[in-house]
Amino acid sequence: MSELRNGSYKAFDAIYHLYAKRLYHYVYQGTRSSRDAEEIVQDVFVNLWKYRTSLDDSKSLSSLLFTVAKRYRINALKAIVNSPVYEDYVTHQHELLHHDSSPIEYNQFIDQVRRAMSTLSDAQRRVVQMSRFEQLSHNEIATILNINVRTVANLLSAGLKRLKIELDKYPETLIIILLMV
Amino acid sequence: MESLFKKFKADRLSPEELARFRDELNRMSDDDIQELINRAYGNATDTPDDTITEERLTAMKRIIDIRNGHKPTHVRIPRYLLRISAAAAILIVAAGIYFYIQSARFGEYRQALVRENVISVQRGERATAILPDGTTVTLSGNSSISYSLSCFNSHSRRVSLSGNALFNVTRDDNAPFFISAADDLEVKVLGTLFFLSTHSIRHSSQLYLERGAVQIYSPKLKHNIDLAPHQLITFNTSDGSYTITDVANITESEARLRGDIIASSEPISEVASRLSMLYDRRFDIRPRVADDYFTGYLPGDNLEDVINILGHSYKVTVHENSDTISIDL
Repeated sequence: MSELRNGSYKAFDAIYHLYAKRLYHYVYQGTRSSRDAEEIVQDVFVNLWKYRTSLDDSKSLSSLLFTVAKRYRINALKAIVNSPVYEDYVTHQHELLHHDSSPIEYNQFIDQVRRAMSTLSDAQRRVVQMSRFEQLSHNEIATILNINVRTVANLLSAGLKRLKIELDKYPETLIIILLMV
Repeated sequence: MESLFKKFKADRLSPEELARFRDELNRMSDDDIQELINRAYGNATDTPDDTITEERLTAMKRIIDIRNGHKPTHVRIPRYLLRISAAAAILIVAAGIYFYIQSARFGEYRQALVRENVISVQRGERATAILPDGTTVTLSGNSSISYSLSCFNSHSRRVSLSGNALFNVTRDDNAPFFISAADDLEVKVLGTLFFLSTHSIRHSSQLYLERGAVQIYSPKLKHNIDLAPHQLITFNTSDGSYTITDVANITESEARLRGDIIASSEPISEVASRLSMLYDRRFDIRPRVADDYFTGYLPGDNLEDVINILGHSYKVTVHENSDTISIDL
């Protein structure tokens, strides 16, 4: 740790190899999304390097890293549970189970949504992105894009409808891929 | 609450349960939430729900290195790279001395404030500069960035770019960061990490955003374009058309940030001309058939690797001399 404080990148590398995997698993417990977990681990290490000179000597490195990660993990859990995309996922999952389809992981769902998003028109995608991922209200979106609130609502409902159609297609494509293998 | 968390953990919440879980969670203190997670997992971190591969760990580390402004040390640094970085360092120091002498000679702040500072690198070179606000810019391959001190104030920060650069912009919500590029293209940034590449001759610009948010303006556009993290935009500055693609895979994100040449079914002649731009050597690639295509990543700062990759993928010998690299496919 003293080497790290003196600016040794070698020490930083060693710390990464020692802790990155454990931190990732720790953070993943709160988010269920590998992309979010990866970004948090990145942030933890970038901050460790940035604030290396002001590290507290009296604490162990592992307690230091996990104290920081603990805060991130709690915030990540709150964020995901409150996010509209996660709500969409739960609804989608619920419908899948209702139709006796096999359930999917949140990670797979996010990948599917992103793929499906590319089939939307530009305007639809922007509105869906702002509403679902950035959690802006209809009014806020209308101000940013300089369009009518009604238009926002129309674009959003058309976009979400299209997304749903795309998403419902996927179980079948999955089966087709499996048959081809 | 514990049973709800167990269901969350297993991806089995019903919509009604999610609503209950959310309400409860929003009422809980952070300490209680911490305890809830710990109880569900028992303090152990060795029974993971999701395993991360070594490959992703390594890729993640490289992104961290880029964000830390740390360049990985190669086992063997090619001599030309050392020469190039020496040249770039001299250039920057010389620019610094020139600027210092100039400002000292006139002894006037005003002069210094309005003077335009230019940092540029030649083809095949790469250099990192730190701007007055702490933003780091890594220029590669025949690019330059210019700014004057008066453009960095408490309301806004402005630079102009020609060519390619990786930006790690220091966050300042009160002073947005603007980049002007070819054909009146303008990018507005709050604080973020992205790679911007502009070509005034081809009227084509590309921006890959790793994190944060940017907005793109152009007289050719009816409205501004907002980009979300992990998105790549390719923009035609002459007619205003553009495409946005999601970069889902971490290996590609990393390649995008490094400014690698990323080709998918691109005519080999096109790839050759992009390589020539970056490395200041003529790439003489003679395809077997007129329309040979190439798909893959080629590093933007390591000529030896480029030669090895091309040699291996086409199973041919590459002939290299001081100004031309010739390949017969």
